[in-house]
Amino acid sequence: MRALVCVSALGCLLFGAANLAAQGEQIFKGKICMGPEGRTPTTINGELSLPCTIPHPKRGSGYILFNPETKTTYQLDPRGKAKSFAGRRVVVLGILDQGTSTVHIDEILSALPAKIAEAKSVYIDCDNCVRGMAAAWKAAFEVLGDWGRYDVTPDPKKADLILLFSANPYVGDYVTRDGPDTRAVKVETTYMNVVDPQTGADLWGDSRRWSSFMVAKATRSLIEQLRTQLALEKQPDSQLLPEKQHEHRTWAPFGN
Amino acid sequence: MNVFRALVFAAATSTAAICASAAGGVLEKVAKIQVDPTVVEHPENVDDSTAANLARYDLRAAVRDAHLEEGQPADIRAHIVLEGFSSESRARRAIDAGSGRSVCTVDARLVFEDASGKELANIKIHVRGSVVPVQGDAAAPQGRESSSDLERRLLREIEALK
Repeated sequence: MRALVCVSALGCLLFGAANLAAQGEQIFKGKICMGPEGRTPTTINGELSLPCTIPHPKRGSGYILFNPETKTTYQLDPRGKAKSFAGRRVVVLGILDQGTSTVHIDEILSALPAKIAEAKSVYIDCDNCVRGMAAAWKAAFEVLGDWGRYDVTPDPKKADLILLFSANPYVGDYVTRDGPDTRAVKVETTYMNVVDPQTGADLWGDSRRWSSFMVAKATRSLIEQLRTQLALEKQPDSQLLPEKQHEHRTWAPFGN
Repeated sequence: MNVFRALVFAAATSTAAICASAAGGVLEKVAKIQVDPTVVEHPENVDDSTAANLARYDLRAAVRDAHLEEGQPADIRAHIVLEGFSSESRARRAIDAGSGRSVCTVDARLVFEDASGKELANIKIHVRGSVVPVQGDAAAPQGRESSSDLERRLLREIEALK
C-alpha cells in the first residue's frame, strides 16, 4: 500500500513537472492583490478592480494577479516575490500551471507608466557627473542612437522624458531644485531615472552597483532593461515568450 | 603718412565689407532652422561611430543656445560636413582617466542652405576639445549646466551670421 502511494505520488510529481516543462514562459499583466482566489472584483471609477490593500489579511491568504481587462485571476508562487508589488500594476514573467491557475513567477516588474510608452523625445541629463560618472552621457547617447526609439533632444523643455543619470539616488526634485545636485559624489552605483519634465515625478528607475569603472556598461544595461520592458509590455497578455529573449536577458530585476 | 593711413583704412573697410556681404546677415531675420543629418565625406577619417550623431546634437544645441527655434520645415537648413574626427589616444585617455573629460579633434564644415538647397554659408570648423556635454563647465552658455567645446564653437559661428 505504501509503495502504491509512493509510486502515485512520484507519478503526480513527474506528471506535474512534465506539464510545467511542456509550457513555455509567458507574460501576465495585471494588478497584484491580496487573495484568496475567487474574490469578487468591484467597479471603481468604471474600472473593474479588486480592493488590493487589506489592513489585516487572514492567515494563509496569498497574493493574486488580477487582470481587469480579461477578468482573470491567477495565484502567484512564490508569494514573497509578489508582496512588495501589492496594489501595483505589474508584468509577471512565469510559467502557468493550468491545473491550479498558478503562475510560477520567474520575474516580476512594475508596469511602465503610459507616458514612457507614448514619449517621442528624451533629454539626457547626467547629474553631477564628475569623474567616472562622466562616461554615462556618451554611453546613453550611443545606446539611444542604436535603439532609435526616441529623438535625443538638447532642449529639456521640449523633451517628453528626462533620462537622469546620477551616482546618487533621485529624490524627486528635478523641477524644484535651482541647479545641479550638490550632494557629495561617490561613484559606486549608477542610477537611472526616467523623470517627467513637467512634474519631476520618477516614472521609472533602477540602478547598478558596478563601481566607477563600469559606469558606461551600467548605463547601457539600464537602458537595455527599459527597452526590454517596453518590448514586453507591447506583447498581449498570456503571450508565450520566445526562448531567446529569456536566455539573453542581461539584467537582474531582483536587485543587482 | 596720412595717405598711407587712408589707404590702410580703405583696405580694411573694403575687406570688412566684402566679408560682411559674404557671410554676415545670412541668419539675420531667421527664427527657425532645420538641422539635417551630418554628412561624413570620408568615413575612414572618423574613428568614432557616434561622431556624426554627436556633431548633429551639438549643432542642435548651438541653434537652441542662439535663441533660434529648431525644427522642420524651416526656410534655412543647416548641417555639418564631418571631414575628420579623432578621439583622444589611449595614452591621453589614461592620463585623463577619472577627470570626466575627453578631448577629440574635429575637422568639419558648417553649411547653411536655403529651402531650395542653395548654399548660403560654408564655414570651416576645427575644434580640439569636448564634443560631449561636460557638466560644471564655466564657459557653458547662460542657463545651461553643461555644454561642449564643439557646441560653443558652433554657437559663435551662428551668432556671427546673425
